[in-house]
Formats: sequence, structure tokens, C-alpha cells
Amino acid sequence: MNWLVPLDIGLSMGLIFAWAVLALALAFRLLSFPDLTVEGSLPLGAAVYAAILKSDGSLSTAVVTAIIAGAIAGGLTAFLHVRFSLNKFLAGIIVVAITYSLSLRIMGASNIGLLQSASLFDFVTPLDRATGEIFHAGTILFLAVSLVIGATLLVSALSSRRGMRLRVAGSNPEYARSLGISVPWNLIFGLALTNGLAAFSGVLLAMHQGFADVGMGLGVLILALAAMTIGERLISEKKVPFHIFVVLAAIFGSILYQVLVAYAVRMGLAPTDLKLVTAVLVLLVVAFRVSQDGELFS
Amino acid sequence: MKSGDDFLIVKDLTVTFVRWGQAVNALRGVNLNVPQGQWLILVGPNGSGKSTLLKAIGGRIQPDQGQALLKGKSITALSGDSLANEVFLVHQDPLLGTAHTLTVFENLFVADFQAQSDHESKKLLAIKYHDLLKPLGLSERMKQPVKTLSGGERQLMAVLIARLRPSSVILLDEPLAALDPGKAELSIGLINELNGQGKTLIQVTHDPELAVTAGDRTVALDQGRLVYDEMATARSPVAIRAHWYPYPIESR
Repeated sequence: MNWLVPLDIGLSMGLIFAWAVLALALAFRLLSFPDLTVEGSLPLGAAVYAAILKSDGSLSTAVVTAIIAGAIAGGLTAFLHVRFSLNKFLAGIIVVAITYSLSLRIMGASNIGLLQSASLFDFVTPLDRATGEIFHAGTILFLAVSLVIGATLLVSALSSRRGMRLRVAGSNPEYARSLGISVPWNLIFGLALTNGLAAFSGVLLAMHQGFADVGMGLGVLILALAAMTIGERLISEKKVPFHIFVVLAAIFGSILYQVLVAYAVRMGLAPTDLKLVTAVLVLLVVAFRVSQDGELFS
Repeated sequence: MKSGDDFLIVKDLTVTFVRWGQAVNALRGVNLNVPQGQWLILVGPNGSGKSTLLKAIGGRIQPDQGQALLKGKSITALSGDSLANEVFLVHQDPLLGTAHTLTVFENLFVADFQAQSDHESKKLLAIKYHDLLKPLGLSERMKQPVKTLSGGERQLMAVLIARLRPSSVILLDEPLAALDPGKAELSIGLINELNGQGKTLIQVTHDPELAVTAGDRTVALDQGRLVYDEMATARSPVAIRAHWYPYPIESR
């Protein structure tokens, strides 16, 4: 049953990182903001969560505070952009640098072990045990159910008038101003929301791995970009409204990408080559899409 | 002339841009009084200041001197929401008048001020929008993202959206520029309806025929100055055309 191991790892990681992929995809596609902050808000979420648990804080306080910390990081990126007209990439890079030092400060070390601490996965441990050591059905079920609930809430929020106003601000700032929609505030709110999701991804990752590490955000951007790009090839944009397409593409892209990576590693791909392979994969998918649209080299 | 003489007043409006280190006088002390409900046609050659005047009235740019007053209040003093509820700008560029990732329905819904205050159900709204879109041939495309529409269809949508806004002043910057004759006719129909609702319209056009047949009054700008201002009954096609061709043929 060894073939189930990569599936187990891939599904768990895909469902955990789906929150971070959602963060990148929503900012990029709906707010037209290529947000690099995700690389900082994910480890910041994990750091805050771990630090609070280690200080005997409750599980719920740790999770909520971690999400708020990520939201503040995202809000800061948007604020730097709208208030000081800082380039979107530059604003993200600055905040990632801030969150790195901040995460170290918060944890007081480069990592914190959490193996003895309470976790949301504790509730599903009996189910994991019942299905054996190879396939953690309880963990996967818990991650899948929470993602479905989160995605449903997200889609219904984005489908509301308030959500539409947010999408208008991201889609066409000039039109948004014509309708009296505040573009700066919506951008700050939007990036706070997306980076809150990225921080939650960090929390789940810390829970799952049993530790929080300051470097756990490294490579998240390329991973999220790959997952988003793959997902957008999987889902048909013509069948659903654009915001639902973005959410579904992020989720399914994340799951497929992580399952593929897990099997690739199992088949002998060196983990050190993973980022190179991911980058090539993104380029191949983009080239395939462009060539299908008849625009390659034109 | 309709009632409400002190409705929209442009007083000594001066706007100067710096382009490549050189000052460009986009507007030089423009004075204009637009009564409530009037449909004003604004003409003039490229670079004469028409779009700048619309942007200043729309609160998009801060004048260097003078001001635009709406119902006695300076337009620059109005905040985002209250400005949007008073003045709506339909851009010359069809891509600026709608949100491309939202569906046709969502674009109408988010702009529909009445739906917001009356909390109408989406089902009833779909019927209402279907009726609005039908004459434009877009009623079957309500669920499609706006980015699937052509430039002309998006420009028609932008004018239709103006109908759903509570704004008493609608600024139309060449709303027919991207349209074929059939769609231009539809757009003129929509603009007529806006005028019928009692809204004050300022419409920029480069169409010489429209400049003398549409609206209640025609105003021409040239090099940032107001050079022609006549009511519909006194408009002269020859005089208006002269403002598009201000230089003698031999000097061109």
C-alpha cells in the first residue's frame, strides 16, 4: 500500500496550502494585486500561533490571533501601496522582510516545536488511527471539510453586494470611483482578507508538521503560482462566474500540484530540485496556454 | 431653457498641466452655467480642454483656479460617495466604464442605487435588467462576464449604467466614439431617456451633425477657452464646424 503514502501527503499538503494559493489567487485575479506578502504572512501566522500555544494560550486564541496577524501584514502592504504609491511588488517585499524579523522576535528562536501542544487535528486522531498509519483519513477529512466551509463562505461573501464592490475596486479602479467605491480601503480590506487566509495556512501547516519555523514560507509564492496556473487549466472559466472560477482553480490546483509533487518525490525526484521543476512546470503550462490562444512568439 | 438656473455653475475654471517640463493650459478661465435638466453638447478640436472640463466637473481633477459648483456646493468638497451620487462620468474609453471580471448582471446590480435602497430580490432584478438589456440585444448575456462583450457593447452598458445611478449630472465623454451607426442610435436613445428622467447632461461629441441636432445647447471650447455658446434654436452648423477647423486651409 506504499502508493497511498504520496496520495496521503499530497492531499494533506494540497488542502493545507490551498488557503495560501487562495490568498495569492484572490489578490492576483480579483484585486489585480500580485501580492508577495503571502510568503511572509504564512510563517507569521505559524509563528504567532506557536508562540501563543507555548505561552499557554488557548487553541482558539492562537488561531484567531495568527489570522489577525496575517491580516495586518496584508493590510500594511496595501497601505504602503495606496498611501505612498509604492510599487505593488516593492510593498510586498518590504512587508515580507518585516514579517521575517517579526516572526523571529515573536518566537524568540528560529523555530518552536509543537508536538506536545493541542491541535485541531486532535479531534480526528481516532479516525486516523482507525484507518491505519499510511492513510490519515481523519486529517484529510477534517482539512477537506474546513476548506469546503471556508470556500463556501468566501464565495458567498464575494457574491454579496459588498463582495461585488470589492471586486469592482480590483477590476476597474476608475469605474469603482464613479460608483463611489473607495479603492484604497477596499484594497486594504482585500489584502487583509487574503493574507488572513495565508496565515491560516501557516497555522494548519504548523499544526500538521508539529513545529513552526521562520523559513516555512520560503518558496510558497512559486508553489502557489504553480498551483494557481495548473488549477486555471483544470477548471472551465466559461461554466462559473469568475470569482468562483478563481476559488475552485486555487483549491483544485493546489491539491493536484501537491499530489503530483508527492508522487514525483516518491519516484526519485530530489527535493532540492523541486523549485526548479515547479518553475519549469509553470512555464510549460503558461506556454501551452499561450500557444493554444495562438499568441506564442507573435 | 429649463428651470434651476443656479444648478451647475463653472466659475473661472483654470487647469494647468505640466507635461515634459512644459506648462499646458488645459482650461483658461472657463465660465459656464448649466440649468437643471439641460442637455449640453460640448464640442471642440482635440486638446481643446473638453475632457479636462468633464473631469473637473466630475471631481476627478483639482482646478488651479476657479471652481465648479453643484447646487451651490463646490464639487471638490464632495466626498467619494456623495460625489458619485451627484455626478456620474461615462468615459470615452469603453474599457473604463464597466468592471470586466464581473458579469453583466453584477455590473448593473452593483451600480443600481434603487436596488440597494429597496433591497429588491435578485429574481425581480433579473427581470428588470432583462427588460433594460433587451433593446440593446444583451438580455441573453446577463450571466456572461463583461469582458466577453465587444467594445461597443461595453460602451452601451456604460450609458445604461448611468440610468441606474441616482446622479443628477451625467457627464458623457464621447459616448458614441466606439459605436457603429446602429449602436450609436441605441446610445442616443439611452441618452434621450436620461434627459427624459430630468438629469442634466454634458455630452462631448466630434459628430458635426449631432452637435446641431441633439441636446438643448451647444458649447465649443478651443485652446482651453469657451468660444461658442448657443441654445438649440440659435445654433449655426457653419459656426460650430468652424471650431473643428479653426485654421485656414492653406496654413494646415
